Amino acid sequence: MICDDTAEYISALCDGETIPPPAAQHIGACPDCQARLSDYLAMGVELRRAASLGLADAVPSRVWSKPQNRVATWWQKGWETMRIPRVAFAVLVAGILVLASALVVNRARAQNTGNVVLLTVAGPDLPPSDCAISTEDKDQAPYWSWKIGARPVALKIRLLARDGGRLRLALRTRVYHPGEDMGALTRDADLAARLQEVWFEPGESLKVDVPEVGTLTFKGQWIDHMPIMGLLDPGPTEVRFGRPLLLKDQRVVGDLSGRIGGIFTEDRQDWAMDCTVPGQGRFQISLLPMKGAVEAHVDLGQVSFEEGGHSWEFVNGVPVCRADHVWVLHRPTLKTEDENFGEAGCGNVKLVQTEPGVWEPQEKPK
Amino acid sequence: MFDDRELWKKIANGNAEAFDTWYRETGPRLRAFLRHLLGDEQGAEDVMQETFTQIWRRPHRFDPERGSPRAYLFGVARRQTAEWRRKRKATDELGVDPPAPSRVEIASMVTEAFSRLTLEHRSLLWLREVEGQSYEELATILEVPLGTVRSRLFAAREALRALWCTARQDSGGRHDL
Repeated sequence: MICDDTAEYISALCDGETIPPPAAQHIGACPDCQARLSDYLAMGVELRRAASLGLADAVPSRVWSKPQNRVATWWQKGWETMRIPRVAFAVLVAGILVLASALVVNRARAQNTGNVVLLTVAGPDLPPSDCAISTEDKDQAPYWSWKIGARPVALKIRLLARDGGRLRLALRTRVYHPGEDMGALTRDADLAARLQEVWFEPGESLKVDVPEVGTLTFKGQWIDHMPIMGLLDPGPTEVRFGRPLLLKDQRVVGDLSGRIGGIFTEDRQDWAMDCTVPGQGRFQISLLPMKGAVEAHVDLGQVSFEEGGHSWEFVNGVPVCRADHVWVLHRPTLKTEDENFGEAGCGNVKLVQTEPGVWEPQEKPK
Repeated sequence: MFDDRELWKKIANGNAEAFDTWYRETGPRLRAFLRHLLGDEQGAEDVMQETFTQIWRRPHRFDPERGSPRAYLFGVARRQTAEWRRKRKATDELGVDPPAPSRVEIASMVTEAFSRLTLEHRSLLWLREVEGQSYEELATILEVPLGTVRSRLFAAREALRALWCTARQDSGGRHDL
């Protein structure tokens, strides 16, 4: 017997199988076959060792809801305890179905056109924010970050499945401590993030309780295309920045076009756009007059103002607001409260009224 | 450990608590399998979640006469993996790249060589060596005849050994794992 004939039997030996006596005899006497056996065994041991390293992490908590089973149980119970002839009941159900079908078809047509859902998310300290989710592209995952008190919060949504007019969404949330890497959730690498799965039906309002965060409210509607989000007409109380350049004395000193696609949407005025430009500081822009702010002229995407003996101009790719002026509070040395938000970018900050007609950004303590 | 039949009866009746227990017990092992199969942390997480979701929604697709729930779980996960790779390949053509070592893994020559095996060989070796699946269970999971399992296992071991031997030679003949 030669080694090639026994090689497969060596593999079988490793699996706890018995093998023909001539093969067993050859393996016992052949150094090459014994080396192969030794290698096979070592490989198995090493794979089990490597596997053991990955077994310590618990899987994320999930809620296993199954509405169709409750319906089935209810139906089964009713069917078993029915007191009228079952044939009569079947005819009754058939009649109801025929009458109702026209309504169902109409409702479905009205609510379930298109493959894109325009989703609005709002929550504690999170102003209503829009995003569009295509049911044909499950790789997209809209992401939000904001703060509750002094603690940063991140939310990421991924579409898991579509069932007719409903969507199965995976919500990943995490409340961070200062100094923790929020980017891990953006990169889908934060295994400590809380995962919840929910069914969401556009047209309805869905409230989801998230521990530590509070109640998130989801609203949405079906549309038939991916919208160019908010590029055209700003809402009546909106201040929006989109890929801005900052000019100081007619020279470009800040280019955020590669860092943000900032859109700030809010149905109340007491918020300010909070834009950080490396080397130039923070610029807080609001429709409301803020203490220490200067008035800026708005012309579509341009916001120009004089401050500190310099002329400043933000040039945006989108119209900024409906008003022809805004208030800009420039804070050259004020850093963001939390380094996690990065050096450059746009966010928003809540305003508090400190005296009649005057507001101030509500800076959280570090 | 669970009495599989009793547990599955509860799961098939929509008992969320029983399913959650099973999820917590088997999830880490499935995720470890998927990490080594895909070489992608998030991909492994997504496929694991999708696998459990699918089973939870349609528990009656599992036939207890045809094997254990655990074998069924890995079979569903394997199909989900193929689907995930197909979509990934279609979107960013990453499907042909060898997977990166897992986050939790201290890379070794064997595991490095393992990551360069084909998906089929990785599945087979992992399920046999780590999960201890029998030939019958492997035949069910991989949807191949029982007689094919032994020859494929041999082929997978030989492929891994060849890659490992090459790595050993490249590193100066040291026999590190």
